[in-house]
Amino acid sequence: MERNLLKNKIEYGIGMICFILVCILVLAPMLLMVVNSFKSNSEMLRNDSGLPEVWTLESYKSLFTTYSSLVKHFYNSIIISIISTICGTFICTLAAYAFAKYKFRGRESIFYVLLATLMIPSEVIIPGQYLFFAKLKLINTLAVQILPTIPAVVGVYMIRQYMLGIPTSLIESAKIDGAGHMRTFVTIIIPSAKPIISSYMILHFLDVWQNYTWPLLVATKQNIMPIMVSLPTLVDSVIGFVPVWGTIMAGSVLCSIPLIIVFLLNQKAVMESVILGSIKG
Amino acid sequence: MKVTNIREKIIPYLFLSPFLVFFLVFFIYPALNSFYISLTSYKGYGQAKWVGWKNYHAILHYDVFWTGIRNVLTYWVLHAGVMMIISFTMAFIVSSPKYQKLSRLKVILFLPRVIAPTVAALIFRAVFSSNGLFNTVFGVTIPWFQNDTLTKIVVAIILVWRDFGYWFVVFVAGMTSVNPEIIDASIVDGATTMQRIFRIIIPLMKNILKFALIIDGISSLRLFSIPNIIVGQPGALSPTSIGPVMNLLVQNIQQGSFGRASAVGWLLFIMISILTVIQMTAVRDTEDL
Repeated sequence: MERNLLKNKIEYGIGMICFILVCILVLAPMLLMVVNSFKSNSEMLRNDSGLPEVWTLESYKSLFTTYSSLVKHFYNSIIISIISTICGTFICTLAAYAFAKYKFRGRESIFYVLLATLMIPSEVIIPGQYLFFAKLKLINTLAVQILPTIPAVVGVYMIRQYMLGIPTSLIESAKIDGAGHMRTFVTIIIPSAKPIISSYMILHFLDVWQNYTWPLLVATKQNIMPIMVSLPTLVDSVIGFVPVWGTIMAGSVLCSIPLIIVFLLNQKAVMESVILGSIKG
Repeated sequence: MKVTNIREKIIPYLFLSPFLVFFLVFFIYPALNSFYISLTSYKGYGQAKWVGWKNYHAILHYDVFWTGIRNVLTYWVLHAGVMMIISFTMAFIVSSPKYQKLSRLKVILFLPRVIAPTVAALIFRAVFSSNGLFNTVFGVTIPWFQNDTLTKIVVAIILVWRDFGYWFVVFVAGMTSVNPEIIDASIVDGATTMQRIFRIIIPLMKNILKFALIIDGISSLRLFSIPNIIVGQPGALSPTSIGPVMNLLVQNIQQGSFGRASAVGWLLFIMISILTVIQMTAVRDTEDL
């Protein structure tokens, strides 16, 4: 019995150590990013892993002076992500409501066709999209970075799954009170589905914010670039150009910390919707 | 009466239409168009010239395509197994009752997902530089970016770091769906922890594990930003020897060969479909048991 107890204790300890170790491995690169952002560009060239010899805000300052274009790109990213998130979540919620709470001809078939398109990865249609937007003369605009990111089948699916759980009696009693369809939607459905709507908004925002391939192709002009595309361009290997790692890390902090804060404030809801989205297959 | 009836009938379509319009215009139409373009030779202007399957033929006989596939496969082999083991172990620890207090720390493991792949690649350049964190901590001088194999390992490490938290969350959900009575019974019967993992939990979670491996394989095929940014030539793509297959698509668009680019895209789609079918049949097989 005593041996068993000891064994249990050791097992417990091993589990604990594993967990803590993994947490450290997860956090270390992020801490390194923050620490490195407090070094100057010149110090980063000799010391890119230790504590700063001099803690300085020089790299952050450079974001607003020499590399002020980065702030502009950050701003572009915010506009693109916010517009896409608001429009995308709105149209997904409308569609999800129709799928969840109305009976109409073609409901099943339209829904399953939409789900089937999830198998087509967005990369496959990039050439088609590129030509489409080129014809509209929208390459190198903010619009070309926003429009294709708006509709997302995953969003419709996730929000619908949640709405299935909203009691239909709630909707019917609103109707008896004389509320029209749109009013029911605004006053009953949106408040009841608020948890999923807000966590989908975060997921959508993250998705657009982190987008790289598409903007790399369609946003090659400085004034409309998102920060995800411009940040790596500072690691230039052109002769005579020294990579400004301090600035890059300050930029990385700038575009990670807001997301981390928003995520932490909504962690539970977001992780739950991640599960909802993953079991679609 | 009749009029209101019709009005009632079109209401759901009205709710649906904004999404459907966006989806048809920005997804379905470009998808069909890129399939048509893949059968033509098109430079982005003038008339598209019908060439049939020639683009597909050319891509399939182009060694860069196969190197890309091989690289992507290498990335998958290097990261998937390790990642699943870590995700599974962490999920097992967190979901067992003795570690209840850890469940509030779950969120830490998910944090890397919030960091963009672009930023992750930039951060890890400092971790694996010649006097970077890794080499300093372990007192070694491994030239991570001088050698293709080592660079691929770095990419795999970034993939594990960024993605394992996602599967961890999925696995935790899977484990909570395992009936606790079965676990309790096994403890009473004197099963060791290892026996419990291999004889009860893994068999019960087989479908989720298979699903995870294949979905992760699909996302490996779509890999793009990390392997390119990690070698860091802005605008330019990483050398063929480590480049993922997506590089061929991007390169063809940059050079204005839209037919070729589309063909690469649809070949990717075919491979993804095959993986999806494998996943579905694999899951169905075990459901019969």
